[in-house]
Amino acid sequence: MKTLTLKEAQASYTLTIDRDALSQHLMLIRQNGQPVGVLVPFDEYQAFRAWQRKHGSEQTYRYLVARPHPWRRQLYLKGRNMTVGQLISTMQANHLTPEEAADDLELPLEQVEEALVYYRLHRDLIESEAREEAARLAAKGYAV
Amino acid sequence: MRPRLYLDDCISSKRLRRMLVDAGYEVQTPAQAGLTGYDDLDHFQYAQQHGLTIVTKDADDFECLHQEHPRHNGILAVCEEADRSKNMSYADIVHAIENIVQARVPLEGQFYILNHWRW
Repeated sequence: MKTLTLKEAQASYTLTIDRDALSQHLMLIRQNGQPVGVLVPFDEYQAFRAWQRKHGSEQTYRYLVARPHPWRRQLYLKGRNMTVGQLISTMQANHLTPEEAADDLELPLEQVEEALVYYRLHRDLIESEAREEAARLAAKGYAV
Repeated sequence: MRPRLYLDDCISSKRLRRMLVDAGYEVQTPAQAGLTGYDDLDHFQYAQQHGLTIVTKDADDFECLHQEHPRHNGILAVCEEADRSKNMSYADIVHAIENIVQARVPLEGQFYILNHWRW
């Protein structure tokens, strides 16, 4: 592996990179002696992104967990019978910061923060399940 | 007469409990019952056995329990609004419960959507 050292933040560099050579010798980018990135052939990057998209839904969470439910698929807060969507709606309705929510709901701050990340990644699922619940209730005569 | 309330695990909060206590309600939580993280049926049965009216955000699940086990002390459900900006705050929930109490509607064996009781 070859090493490219960035010495000046303001300087601009023009590098001629031979694609075949890059395939054989990946190029490590260092900043202040620390590795910060790697140059790889573009097709390898695309293959990695495709793999990441395929396996993204299998990401593991430390503070969230699946619970068996007839139709819900979103994750719950580990140790609580509370969905991520329920946490988020409570925070939004009461204008709670993550710190305030952690205190109010007696959850670790890291759990609230992880739930917020999950919400950003799975907002469509969470909102579709809220609509599903409303539809199920409406079908039983409870219009919301 | 004010109902004795049980905050389901999905809605149990220190602030909501304090606001309800300040409004004159006796309130129990899953932490007090030793049921934090337990399934809906466990919370339902605890409330049933202790004469408590359940406040929950699991509207559909508790409506199903209401159908399966109609003998209970009342279920007050908070639903997600299609417009998320209209979701019920803690103050809205306390106000809606107060409206139900003032209306003197029966609670025993009943399932109410609290969203309909804020005005």
